[in-house]
Amino acid sequence: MAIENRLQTRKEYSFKAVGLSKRETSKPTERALRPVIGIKTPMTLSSSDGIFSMHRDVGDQISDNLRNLILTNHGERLGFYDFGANIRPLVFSLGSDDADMVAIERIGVAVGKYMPFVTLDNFQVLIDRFDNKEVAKVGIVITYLIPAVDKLTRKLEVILYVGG
Amino acid sequence: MADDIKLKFGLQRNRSYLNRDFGDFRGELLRYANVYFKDKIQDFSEASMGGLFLDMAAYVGDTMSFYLDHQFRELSPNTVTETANLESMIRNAGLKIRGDSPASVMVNFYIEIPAVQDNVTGEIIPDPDSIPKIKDGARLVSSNGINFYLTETLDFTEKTPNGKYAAQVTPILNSAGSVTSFVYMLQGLTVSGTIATEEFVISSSFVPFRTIKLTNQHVSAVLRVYDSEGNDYHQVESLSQDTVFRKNKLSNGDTSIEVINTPFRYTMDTSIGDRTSTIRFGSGDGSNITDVKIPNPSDMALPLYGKETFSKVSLDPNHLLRSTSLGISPTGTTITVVYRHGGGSNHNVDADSINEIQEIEYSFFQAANYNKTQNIKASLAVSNPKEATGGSAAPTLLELKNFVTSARSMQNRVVTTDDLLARIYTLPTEFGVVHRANVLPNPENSLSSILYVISQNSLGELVPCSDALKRNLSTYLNEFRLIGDAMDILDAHVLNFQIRINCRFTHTVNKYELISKIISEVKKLYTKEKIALGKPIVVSEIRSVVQNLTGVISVVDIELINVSGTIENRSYSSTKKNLSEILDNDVYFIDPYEIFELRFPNNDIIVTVI
Repeated sequence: MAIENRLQTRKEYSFKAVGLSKRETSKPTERALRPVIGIKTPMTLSSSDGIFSMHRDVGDQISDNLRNLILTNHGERLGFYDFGANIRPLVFSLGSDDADMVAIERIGVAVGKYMPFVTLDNFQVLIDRFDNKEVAKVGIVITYLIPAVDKLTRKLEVILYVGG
Repeated sequence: MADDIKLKFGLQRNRSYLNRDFGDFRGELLRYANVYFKDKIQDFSEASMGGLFLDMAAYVGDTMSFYLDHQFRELSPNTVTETANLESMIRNAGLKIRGDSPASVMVNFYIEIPAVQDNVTGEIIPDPDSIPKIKDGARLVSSNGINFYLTETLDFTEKTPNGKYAAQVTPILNSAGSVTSFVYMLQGLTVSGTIATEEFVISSSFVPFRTIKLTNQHVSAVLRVYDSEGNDYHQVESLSQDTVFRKNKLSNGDTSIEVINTPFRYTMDTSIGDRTSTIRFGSGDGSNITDVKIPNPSDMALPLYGKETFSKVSLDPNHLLRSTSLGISPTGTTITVVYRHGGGSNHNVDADSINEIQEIEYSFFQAANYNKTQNIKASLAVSNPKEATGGSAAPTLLELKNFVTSARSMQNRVVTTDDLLARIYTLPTEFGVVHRANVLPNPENSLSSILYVISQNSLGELVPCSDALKRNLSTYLNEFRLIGDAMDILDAHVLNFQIRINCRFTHTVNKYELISKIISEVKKLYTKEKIALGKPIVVSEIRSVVQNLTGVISVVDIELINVSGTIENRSYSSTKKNLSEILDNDVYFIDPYEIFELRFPNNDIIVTVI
């Protein structure tokens, strides 16, 4: 609301009271201005990013890639036989110390080879003892850091279906 | 040093459309995506979905590149890997795939013929009625169990033009010193392997280019193919060859060569995989052999009678194939194939190891006494003075690859001088052997050439070719020559010569021994294998050989003298020539139709010590 001054014909406006025009609101947001990094998985169609939904944050992209790396088993990736952590053969044994050690080693080797910029921090196995009537489930929780991006400790939880 | 601008800014594209692998494709795709789609996607690391897509595209490219490379590799005999393609190349190059090769060896056949008194002269001679022939096909066995078959009939009654027996005849004396019998020895060529006979019942339905497959592997020769009607089928290199050579024994003992037309013919192919052989007949209808051999194309061509226009007419090429122009395909008969198979290096048996006779067939005169013939049969003995050679394993794929490259230059016609000489030297030996030949333009007729030939007698001396050999050569070459080629076959001139060497020896040396050594070394320069028509003699070669012998101080003089006629019971060629006239700068040059021969080296190398 403008305040009228009797002595001078002038109007005063507060920036707080000024709204944004429609044209101004349609400008790209800061997030949208960030360049796309890679395809988000699971893949979905997108109306804003192009054909597929895309990651625009490096950390998110790396987390996504790390999840795919851990969920991939040897021989599944075309052209890279040893790509993946190859955890599936261990799902029946996860929870035991020996199997956990092997899983940790496999994840460490895979990350060291294909995502060396990730620093693994902690490894935890979850055995779902309730929601396992039809298909037993085993979860792996990994905490890690991406020192080149930020100092945050991130957490990744993947569920492996035993026999499924 | 200044930079090379051209090198720096010039086009340095390192393009390769072949031999690109997964890594190359992935790198190239990544570069492309980074250049053109940087704003759409950036993460192509192996762990990302973008990387996965890149890998898939690179994998497809790698696979296609592999097959592209493979296809190119399969086009060259040097790089081909698939057996079927190699087999096809071998056949296209005109090579014959073979299995294990048999060994061959000359075997001495000894028989003892009783002696009788000649009614006219009173001389003791071999009983002429008891002398047999041994027919070809006799089976001998070596000590290690390998079969050897006699390939030619041995005629012990055969005589040379001078009236003597062709066989080596040795009289056998009793204790009183009188001749009781004669041992005849003839050599015959034997070939190892096993002879098999197979029969194939051919149905009455007409099948062009009918094939039959022989059961045994490693077939080295098909000896005979005939049908139940008595028709003999002849092997040809390709079914379009409608003639074969046939040898005829003449009454004077010579063998003549004849070209005969053969509608009954076949080709034989050996599989590269299992080395079994397949016989392929022609496309003509065997049941209709009395018809015209080559159909008249107008019989099946355009129906123009009484018409000014005509529609397109479809022609059935099978009508042409049913002609006998590619040979007969047998129908409604039984084909019998006799062939020899087997071979390998174990067939190269040692000398004197072929001593056992398994099967043999004799032919005696009607007048021969039965008991005498039985005794003669019992006296037969065989032996191979030399080891068998030629037995080898089937060529490997690698060896066959190498043959393809060299075989491509072969051709079945005479175009160049080398072609002609190769043909002459490969004339089957039973028709005569040309030792050396040369071709020269005919000075009288620019459209023809003169072929100079020279042969060897049984003593290894150079002699003019017999008329029979020249006739055989003419018949043989006629099948390969181009239509416009004309050729006169003439005898080459043999120039016999003596070498006179004057030299000085050291005092300490044994002169006779050194002279003998000089003769021995100089002799090696002019062996039968080293002489050729038109080949000059270089005096410095002789000088070098003599000078290098220990004990020779200097070679003072070397001279070549022509010798002709008969000298001290040594018979030379009648050609006379003053060799001093053809000496030029230490080289004796002769005309291309002449050939030097050191016929009696032990007499014709004369060393004088000064």
